[in-house]
Amino acid sequence: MPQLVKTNFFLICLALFIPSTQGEDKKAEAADPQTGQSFEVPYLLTQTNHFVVRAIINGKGPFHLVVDTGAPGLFLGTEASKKAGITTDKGKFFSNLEELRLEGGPTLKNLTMRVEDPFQLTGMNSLGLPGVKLDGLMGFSVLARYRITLDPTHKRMIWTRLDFNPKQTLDEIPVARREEMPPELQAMNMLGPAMKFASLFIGKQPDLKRLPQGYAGFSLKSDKSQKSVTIDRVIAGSPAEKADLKPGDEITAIEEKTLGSRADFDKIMENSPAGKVMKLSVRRGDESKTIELKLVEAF
Amino acid sequence: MNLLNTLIWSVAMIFLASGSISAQTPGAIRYQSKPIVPDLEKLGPGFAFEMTGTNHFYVEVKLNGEGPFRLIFDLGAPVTLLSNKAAKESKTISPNKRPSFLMGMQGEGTVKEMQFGDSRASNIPVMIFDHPAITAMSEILGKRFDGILGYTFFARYRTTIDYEKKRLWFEPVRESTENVVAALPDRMMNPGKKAPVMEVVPRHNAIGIEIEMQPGDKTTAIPPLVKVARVQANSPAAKAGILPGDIFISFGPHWLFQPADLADALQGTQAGEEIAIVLKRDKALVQLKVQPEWVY
Repeated sequence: MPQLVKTNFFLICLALFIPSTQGEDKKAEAADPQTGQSFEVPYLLTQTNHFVVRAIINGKGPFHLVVDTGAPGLFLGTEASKKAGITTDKGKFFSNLEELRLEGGPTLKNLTMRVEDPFQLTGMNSLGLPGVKLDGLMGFSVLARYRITLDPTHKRMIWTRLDFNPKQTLDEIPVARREEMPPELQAMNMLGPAMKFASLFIGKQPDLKRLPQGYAGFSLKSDKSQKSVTIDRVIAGSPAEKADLKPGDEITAIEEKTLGSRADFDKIMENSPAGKVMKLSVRRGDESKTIELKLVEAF
Repeated sequence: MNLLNTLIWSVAMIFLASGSISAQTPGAIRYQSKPIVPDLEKLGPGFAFEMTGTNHFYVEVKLNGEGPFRLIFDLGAPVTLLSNKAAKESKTISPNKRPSFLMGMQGEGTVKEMQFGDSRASNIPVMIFDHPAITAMSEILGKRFDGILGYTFFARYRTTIDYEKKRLWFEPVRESTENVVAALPDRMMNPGKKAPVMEVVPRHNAIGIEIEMQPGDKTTAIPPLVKVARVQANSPAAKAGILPGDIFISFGPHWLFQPADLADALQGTQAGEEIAIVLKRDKALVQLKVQPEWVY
């Protein structure tokens, strides 16, 4: 379905935009003070495999935008557009946006964008599939100004502002009427509302709840072999201190699982939110004991 | 479109969903802390791409030694897609296989080898069907397009895109992507199970604070923000000069609108590394540097 629902937003637009020769327009705009700068841009990978970046638009937000090389421009849903104070002019296909600021720093001013609810977003949002509400799609007219490195094993992308401003040719192109769209595309355009309708029967899926890892308040002795899990420091007033953990204690099992390596320990701790009570088997000298450790929300 | 058709479409979409959304099981990806800026000189000339004229771009690849095939590079596509024709020509499916009535749906297949420039990728999972967008695009542009390169391909690489140079660079980072058939169908097929899907965000490091949420303001459209409630004595936060009541504006490159955002931000740090933070204290903005430490 993402195939249908999102994949190719370029579809909608395909029928709307006549092919244009893509060009650049270097002189038309004054040099961007960010030219040459690199930014680390945090992103969220949704449950539907979309790369989502947060943005503040005209000082409002945050909005969730899908990084989408399959979209020809910047598209913001009607609800988000209203929140960001973007006005639509009946005679014009595009609206103007004063400032787009992305998490991590990249900032663009005076962009043309389209207020629209792409069917893939309407559909997915109504079923709650992505786990977060998607507000729009960020495509060519934004992305092309940057050299973008995306590494799925890292939490952040790298965006480097290029001295390159793609010509926004779409402005000058007459907009084809919707009736001229191929029937299959028209059908796909109806999928958003259809999904909304389907959600009446299936029910909206619950949102994704993101909880921070809980806090125990101790560190481990560094160990090159990554085998032993021995407490180094216990922080005053922390759950670890309250549970009577002491420096030098060796943790042999956690949650009934015997530890073979530090990686086992990390994996369990990284999946434990605040409020969870962890059962630890601890060896202190010749003595073995079981300790209950309640994680709290601290950072 | 009448009601019946609408329902059929809905069902079709759900059917498709079950095959093409991957599971984000907590901890499925173990993130590295620091993204590595790619050294393009070291990476070489990269791999050329072409613009379509509709502000999309495509790459030409060989599939199972056949081709070249033109694939649209789509970061917004969750899966990789091939047309029936391309799937047959590349021997991804048998040439005698007949497509189903619904847009030639053939379900999932695997491309044994994809060759782009001098590089090769093996066993790429693909969906095979004639996407109306691809068909329409081929017609409008008078050029045959064979499919879409999506997440199931680029999840294996550190990908760099440069529109000015019209080049792509791929550096392999992991063997294969997560299992494609997973949690979501179960969620959809069991509407009774409406428990929220929970994801724990690993933190790795800490600075020694407790936080509370500063509620947002609807009239001025200020979102909820993270406020410092308590600072541990002798902690990195105390050493950096963070005070109770400070409101986080940013932590490194991250914005903080919910507690999980702080975990995300800390996960991106290395113990001892100096992180620039911006706080709102009374009405002024304060910039500080904090060195997170490795604490569970």
